[in-house]
Amino acid sequence: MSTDPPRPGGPPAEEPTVIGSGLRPVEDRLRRALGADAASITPTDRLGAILREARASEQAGPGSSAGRHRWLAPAAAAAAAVLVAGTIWAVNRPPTEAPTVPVASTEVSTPNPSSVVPEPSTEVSTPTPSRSSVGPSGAPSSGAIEPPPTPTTAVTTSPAPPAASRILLPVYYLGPIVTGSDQVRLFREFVSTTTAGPSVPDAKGLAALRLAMAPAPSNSSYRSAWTGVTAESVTFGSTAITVRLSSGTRDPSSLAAEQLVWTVQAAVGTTLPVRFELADGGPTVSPGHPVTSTYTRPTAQIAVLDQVAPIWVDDPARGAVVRAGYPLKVSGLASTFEANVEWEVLRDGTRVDVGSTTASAAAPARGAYQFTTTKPLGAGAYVLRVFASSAKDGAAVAEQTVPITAR
Amino acid sequence: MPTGQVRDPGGSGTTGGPASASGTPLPTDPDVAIAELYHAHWHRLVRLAWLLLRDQLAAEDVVQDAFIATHRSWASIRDGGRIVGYLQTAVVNGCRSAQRHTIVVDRQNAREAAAADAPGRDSQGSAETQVLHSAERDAVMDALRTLPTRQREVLVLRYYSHLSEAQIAHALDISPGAVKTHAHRGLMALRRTIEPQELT
Repeated sequence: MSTDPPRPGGPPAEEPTVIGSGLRPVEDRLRRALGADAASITPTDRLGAILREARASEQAGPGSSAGRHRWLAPAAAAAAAVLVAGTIWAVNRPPTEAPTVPVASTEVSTPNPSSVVPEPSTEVSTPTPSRSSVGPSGAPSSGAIEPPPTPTTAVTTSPAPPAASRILLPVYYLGPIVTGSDQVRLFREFVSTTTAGPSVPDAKGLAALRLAMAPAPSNSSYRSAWTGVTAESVTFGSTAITVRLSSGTRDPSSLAAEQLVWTVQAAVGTTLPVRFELADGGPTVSPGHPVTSTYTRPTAQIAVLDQVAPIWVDDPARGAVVRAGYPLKVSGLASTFEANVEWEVLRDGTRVDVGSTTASAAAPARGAYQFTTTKPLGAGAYVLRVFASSAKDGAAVAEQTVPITAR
Repeated sequence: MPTGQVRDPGGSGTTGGPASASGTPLPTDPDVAIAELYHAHWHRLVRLAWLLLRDQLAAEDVVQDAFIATHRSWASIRDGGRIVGYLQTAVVNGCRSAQRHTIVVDRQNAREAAAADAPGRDSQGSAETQVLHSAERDAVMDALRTLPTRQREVLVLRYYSHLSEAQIAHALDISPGAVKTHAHRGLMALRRTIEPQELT
């Protein structure tokens, strides 16, 4: 920008801040807030993981580093080819941002070009390799100027998103509050699925409903109350969400209709009331739930607890494959006495790790919890169990189990 | 084994010229180098990524990958100097990449979906609630989050990482003039958002 803000008091040119003194209070507040916010997290130790993975990727060659967070392959690429990243920004920069200098330099510093793993479809770049170490390049690897390995200039060229995109949808399942109990509650999970076309609310709502109504995942204790019923459409209007089903269900599960209400509201991202239409003209969505009524999720904490399970696990997802050799990071929501959350990791039914943590709020409120297990997981199949025990007799009063595989 | 901390000789105070003139030899063994870099910079870089991503798990993943990339290319990075600058840029780029990628977006979606799932505001994602926020910090951080990515990056690098204008220009591969512009616009926007509250 050619018009610097006025500088009362005229700081010298090398004065690092060009900001007018009127902004000083904002600067001070920002500095304090950033410092405090940064200090609010405690980075976990990953040196061992870094060294292990770096060595492994050297031995295993390209692609091996992706592992648990394959999605970060572009980041690795960016690290190895930061100048290309400059080009990415030039291409992807939102139009609202001020134009910056043209990116003239796109040397690629990839001593091990094969290690740059292009993840299809994520990055856009049109590298124009040039050995001239021009102006703004200065990027981290400026000293490491090697002839750009043009063929591998990593970062791929696919400006348009793929037609089918992977999205994560909140899905509510009907399951026992603890294994074997006949008290049914709703368990929210985030399910990865692909949708064709744009993920507009209607499409997300319909996709989530279909997942919720499908046969329960085989590795769960859930059950489906919607066998033989299909979700035909979801219409997200200004005053209501309309859900069209092929018919109602006769399944006696108490929360069958509520399951669909919670699911579609979460997937659409609004708590507008839900109205049902039944293609077969039937009178009830589920027993006791006439099609003439509209439905919404409750708001009172106690009423919520009558419908949703006290403990949800958001991450890892059911059936997730995690990297062996690392402890497991777990997060979710809980509504438990004194916010106590206990957990254990089981292998072939035997406990291999155990601990407890505290959620950010106690019942009847719902609070977030997170913890990291204490021991690295060897390769194999595990069940993560997060639960709450009765203060009276220690029996589990709520639980969620998530099978995972470490590999 | 050299035991000195790996650093950018002069690199943190200059515009990042080649720095190999320093007296301290840099380790040739990448494991040693990475271990030293890790001890000196891991926490700070994770926090930088956290400020940009608001997702601790993703922040650690990004920084971990930056270290791994550094390890992998250690020989040439070592010769190039500006090692910390390299890491810094890799982290900022990685954050952008992660932000674009569906996983982080997914987590944000999850937070949004979760926010609708309970009365009150208790059910936001763990990253949001794991700390007790002060109202002051909240107001500033919320305002920061509404800024365009580039403005946010410039402000975080300047007021958290304490980089100079020239260093930010290098790290983001933009001109110093653009850094000024982004910083100024960002601060103006922050002031508009947070000062009315302050004046009441």
